[in-house]
Amino acid sequence: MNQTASASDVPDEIADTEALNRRIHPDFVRPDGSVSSQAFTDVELSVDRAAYWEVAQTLRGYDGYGVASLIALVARGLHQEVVADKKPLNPAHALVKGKKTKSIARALARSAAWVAGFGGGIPT
Amino acid sequence: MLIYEGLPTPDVTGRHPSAIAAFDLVTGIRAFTDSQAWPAYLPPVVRNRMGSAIATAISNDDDLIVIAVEEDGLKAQCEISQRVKEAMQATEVFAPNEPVEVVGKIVELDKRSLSFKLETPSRTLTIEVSEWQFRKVDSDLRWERVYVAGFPRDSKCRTIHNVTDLRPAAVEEEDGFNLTDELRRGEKTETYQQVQTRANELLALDDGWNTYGARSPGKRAVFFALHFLRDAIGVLLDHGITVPPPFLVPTASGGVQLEWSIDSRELELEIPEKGRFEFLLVDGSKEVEGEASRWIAMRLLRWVVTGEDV
Repeated sequence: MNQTASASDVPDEIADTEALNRRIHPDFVRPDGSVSSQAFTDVELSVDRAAYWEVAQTLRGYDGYGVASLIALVARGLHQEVVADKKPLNPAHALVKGKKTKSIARALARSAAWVAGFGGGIPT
Repeated sequence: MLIYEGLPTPDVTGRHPSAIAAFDLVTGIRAFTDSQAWPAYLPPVVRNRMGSAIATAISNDDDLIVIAVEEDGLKAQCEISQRVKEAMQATEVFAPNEPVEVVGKIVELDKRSLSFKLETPSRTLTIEVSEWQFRKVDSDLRWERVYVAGFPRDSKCRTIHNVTDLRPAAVEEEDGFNLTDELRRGEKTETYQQVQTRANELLALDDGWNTYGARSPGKRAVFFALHFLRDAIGVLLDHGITVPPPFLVPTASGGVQLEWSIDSRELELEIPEKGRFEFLLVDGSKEVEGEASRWIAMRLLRWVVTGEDV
């Protein structure tokens, strides 16, 4: 991870093995700690590439949120396009593009792993 | 003897809708015969139609209609006697001393009689008001949706008088008469109350609440979901089925979703807006998704709770 990654440090191609971090609002978290499929329904799902953007950066300014991680290969296996979408202030920004049927959104949610929980812990 | 056999319905999975309705009818009539109380899933509007349909077939005290239904070896039967027929035909009776609440739209004002017409889904009522109440209607509530509490002037409640409350109707208040006690039972359950508490929390979310541009949950969608849940709990209670609490989650598009996970069965029932259901059913490794009517949504809920084929 590189907290000061610049756009030139971040490759345009996203490897199948890359982890993609998504900020999760606490209202998406079920009582058993799993994430609802509703957290993964955006046609252009905004994510941060974990290899180039620290979890702390994803959470900066968003106290009380968690971060769940998807693997690019899993998203691609669900007919999603995973593409870089570099922003001036976040060169590690990427999109998981494609229509999310309810079944696809559920599959993404079930594949997601917590990398940061709420208030520092990881939900169980 | 009249024998009816349901034709195949290729677009409908699971049990034949006619079979479900027939079993509900037979078990509902049997429930009345046993307890002298009608279950909520046979409301007056349904009973009255059935009562009218069989009126000519039962004219003597010893006449009897036997309805037997069978589906895949499962059988049920009920008997409609003269007494049961009369009970089916009985229209809803309003007692003059029991208050009623109704929500509808003001469609006509009559200054001379100090009254107005209130349009509800089932009929148009006359509301008699005091002079100051009429002034309020004339100045502030003309053609609006309003809530009225008062007393029936007649047993059919064609007119309401002695109005005790008159105000604009809230979004969450449904058009029509106040609910029957049977349906209100759903509101008293822990499941409903838990979801209602959660719904109130979700209604406090602002646009952009998920940090990715989500819309705040719409009141109409949230209250539609709550009303559906309340009614479903009440109806399923009549069948001895207790609905466990679902997880209520907001959607990014301004709706809400009810989620149940029981054994290997999962149901996601999304309400993107008032009056619409989208579902995902997961049964082990099998997944089905699509749009659902309110009736199908009720059957899906029954399926996820009991595992019964729908």
